[in-house]
Amino acid sequence: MIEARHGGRFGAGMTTLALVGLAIAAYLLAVRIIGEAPACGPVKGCETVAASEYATLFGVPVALFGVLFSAVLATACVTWWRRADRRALYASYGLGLAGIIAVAYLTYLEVFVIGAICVWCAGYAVTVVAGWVLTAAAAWQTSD
Amino acid sequence: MSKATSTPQTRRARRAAEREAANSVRRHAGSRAGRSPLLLITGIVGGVGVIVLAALVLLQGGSGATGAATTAELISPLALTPVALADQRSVGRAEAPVTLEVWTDFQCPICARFAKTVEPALMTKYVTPGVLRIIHHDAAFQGAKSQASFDESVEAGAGARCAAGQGRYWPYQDWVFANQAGENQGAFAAPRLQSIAAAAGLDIGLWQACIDTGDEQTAVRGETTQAVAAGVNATPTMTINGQTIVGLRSVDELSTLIDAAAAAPTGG
Repeated sequence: MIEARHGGRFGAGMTTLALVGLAIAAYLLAVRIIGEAPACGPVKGCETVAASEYATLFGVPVALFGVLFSAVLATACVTWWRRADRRALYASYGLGLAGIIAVAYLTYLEVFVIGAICVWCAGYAVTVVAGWVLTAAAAWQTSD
Repeated sequence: MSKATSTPQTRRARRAAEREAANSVRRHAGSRAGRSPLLLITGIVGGVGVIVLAALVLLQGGSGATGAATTAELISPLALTPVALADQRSVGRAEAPVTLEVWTDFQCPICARFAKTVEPALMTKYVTPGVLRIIHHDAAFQGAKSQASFDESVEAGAGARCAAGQGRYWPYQDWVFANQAGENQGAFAAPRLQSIAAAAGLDIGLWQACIDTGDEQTAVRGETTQAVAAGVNATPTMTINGQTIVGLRSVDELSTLIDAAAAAPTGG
């Protein structure tokens, strides 16, 4: 049966999560550039993580990779949401899976190497994982 | 289901139906090779990701934050502080018109960022030309957050004082800050601290004898107590000719304050 939808299923949620991730990464990049520590509130650990050598990769702030990744992911999610193009859904799925692997490694570094947890990084990881779950659900429910 | 109800009526609905039909064709094509392109994507991304992860973890060498370390396992400072104008825990001409005093903790990550990024720029811009003198003080706060009897902040500070006795406070500081790895996690446990001191070029026999007296640990605690009494409750805390600044500041911000202090009348 052909169902004439005007947008991809779960597209709004996927896009929202990608944009939240983009905002978090942009904040972490901004404080890195101006030389400040991220505001942690009562939860400590952001300063330790941000000041560690793992906050950069090949001399580039890790947050910049986060910004670029989230921007591309958000673009794919918006395309799926507004145009229901399955190629965009597959791109979101692949990017999300790569993102999960990356945040898993970064979380491993925080817990087992640096010995501190950054709540902003943890929040970013949650957006990546939740976004991928929605993407997988969209792919599953819209498949024949 | 009648034909009348299944045919889209508007152009927008027709375009959506055409897209869905195209997607359906793609899905059916994919299902011939398996469930869908999702399996292929999962296999490729997952496989590559696991390989990259394994390589990174192996390169990382597991947890490097705790226990002893050989000098070869330590991280080298990106740049060493020039020591030509160093005198114990200060650097710069004694008659410099501006004095920057810094209350610091070797376990404090922001202090490390200050030492690694801001201080080198100030050295070049102000200390070498004779405008600025920088003096370091102990404010060993972080170790007190741990229940461990070995206070890593105090021990690292004591090590710095012993290094100063050999005229190598600044290289020691550079190496200590380059090798932070979490607070109260063993980064500055005694064996690792000794490795760091060796890497900083200290005579380890003399340095260890100095540490073992316990006098420098007492001095670190004493200066920390004085700092708290003077109102220091965070690191880094700085003063520029007496004007207090709490927390990290950029080179530009500090430059503005230093320029103003240098231009101010001396009051004599």
